Amino acid sequence: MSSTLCCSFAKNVTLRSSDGQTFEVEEAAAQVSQTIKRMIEDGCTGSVIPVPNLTGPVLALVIEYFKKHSPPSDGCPTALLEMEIKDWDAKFVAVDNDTLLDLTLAAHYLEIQGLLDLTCHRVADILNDNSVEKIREIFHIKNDFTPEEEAEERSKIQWAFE
Amino acid sequence: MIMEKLLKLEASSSLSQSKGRFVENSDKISNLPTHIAHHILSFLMMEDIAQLSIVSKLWQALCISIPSLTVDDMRYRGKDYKLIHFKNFLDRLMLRRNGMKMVQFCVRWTFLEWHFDEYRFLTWLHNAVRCNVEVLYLDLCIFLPGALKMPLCVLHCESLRFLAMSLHGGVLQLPSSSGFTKLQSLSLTRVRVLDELFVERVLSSCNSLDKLCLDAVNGINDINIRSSSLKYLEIKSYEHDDLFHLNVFGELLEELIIHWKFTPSGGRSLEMATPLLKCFTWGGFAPDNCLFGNLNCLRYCALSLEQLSSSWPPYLEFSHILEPIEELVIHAQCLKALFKSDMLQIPLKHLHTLRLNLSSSDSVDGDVYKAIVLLTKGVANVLGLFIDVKPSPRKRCVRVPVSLSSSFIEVLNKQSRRPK
Repeated sequence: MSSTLCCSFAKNVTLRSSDGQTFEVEEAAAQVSQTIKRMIEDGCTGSVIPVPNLTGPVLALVIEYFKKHSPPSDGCPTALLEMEIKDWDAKFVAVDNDTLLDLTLAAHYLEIQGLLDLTCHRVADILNDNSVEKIREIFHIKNDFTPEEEAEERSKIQWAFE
Repeated sequence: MIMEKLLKLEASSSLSQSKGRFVENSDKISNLPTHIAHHILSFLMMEDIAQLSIVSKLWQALCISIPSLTVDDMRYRGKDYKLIHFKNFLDRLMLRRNGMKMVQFCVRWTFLEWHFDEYRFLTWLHNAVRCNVEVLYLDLCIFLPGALKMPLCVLHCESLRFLAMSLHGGVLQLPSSSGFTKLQSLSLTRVRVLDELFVERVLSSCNSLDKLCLDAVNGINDINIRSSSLKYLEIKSYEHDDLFHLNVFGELLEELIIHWKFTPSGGRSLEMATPLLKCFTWGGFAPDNCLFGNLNCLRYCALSLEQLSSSWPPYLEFSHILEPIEELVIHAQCLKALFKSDMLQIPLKHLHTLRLNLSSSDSVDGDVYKAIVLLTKGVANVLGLFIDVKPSPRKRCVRVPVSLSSSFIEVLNKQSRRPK
């Protein structure tokens, strides 16, 4: 709130990814992340904030999310704005699985609950839409059941298949 | 210090690395921290979780250890073959957990043959207690003559903090010897009890209970709430219920919601002794006998009483309790009744927000305006006036200095003249 009260010049912070790329972003927007918020509160604004768990391309995506989800400066969000953000969110996570999981981890490291819910829901949708074999294939999961074990486990969950 | 934090974060995330032994390096999903994998699973239905459990051994372990478990028989009703296997699967799942921490257990189930399924259901509850369950939601439809006899282990469960039960009119019995020990929040919806002293018994042993909701708890004539821990109380009772006397004695109670309707046969009473009450929401019908006690801390009052007659006996005492309030929400019908009985003469010096709800009434006449002027006569500060109108879901808001009461009424008129 206090950051929106001040002058027309919004304060910026600089974030540095694991591979050394730097990004400048409005302080209010970056505070969507609880981790960064705490750092700013600890007086970390002067220098560059390192984000060693995220590579440049992922951090760039996260910053896009920050910008869309920074608190609006003119009071409460309207229903229309909320709908627009929802649409934007759906497009934002329509990415390849690798990027989706990177974003999930990024949301975890940076404590962005909204993004974590969004990405986890998307992963859940993918798991829901695909067969066991397809899930192994698209997420590169190695099947470590023996054929006998798998047959036995499968027989116990026959009710779950149509 | 900051770097330390980041390193810590990194360290916590690498906990999952140990699981990576099972999988290829490119298998990012299996390398997610366990609680994130569980968060993903929390968006899935039980049959999807069951299917995932045969993807790999790691995913099987994740599915078994899921901390928030929801079981719902909806999809299998009328499909006996599938239902039996689903139940067996759940039995096995509960056994395989073997005491692994369960945060939440939610059961939505219709029991056609309770005598057949009671044991199974109670075993699930036992297992949940063994897994140190904290939150229990039970939405059960038990066909007669079945009754849910709450097992002792649930009542004595040290970890259980929150219990919500909806029994669709079914009977709930507690063991006669004791009540819940560590519970903080209890909510009962559409429950029939056979013991007149049910509520007293529950409260006598719940020393940490701070929230209680009784919505259509049927079978009790007198509800006596006596609690030195309760901060929030919600009582809802409808025309077909048996409630005659409602007594609320709560030395720490801060918020009270009463919605009580009854068939108009006299003899109903409400008695309150709630010295710290801050928020009072009161709807339904007003009993003839009301004792409000000391309500000096009251700051917020929402009134939606129906069918108030101008000869309602407790009017005088009631208008005094309004004196200290800062925010009043009132339905037009209720406002008019108070106005007609001359009970709005007391100046509401501290009022700063008045919310007028016209959504259930289409008659906004002179009485409403006069009543508002009367209500706000003693108001010293700027008053926020909100008007909720039926046709538009948007709330209208005007802020006016009350000293300009003529222009104030004008604004009000403009507001209500808008086409419906």
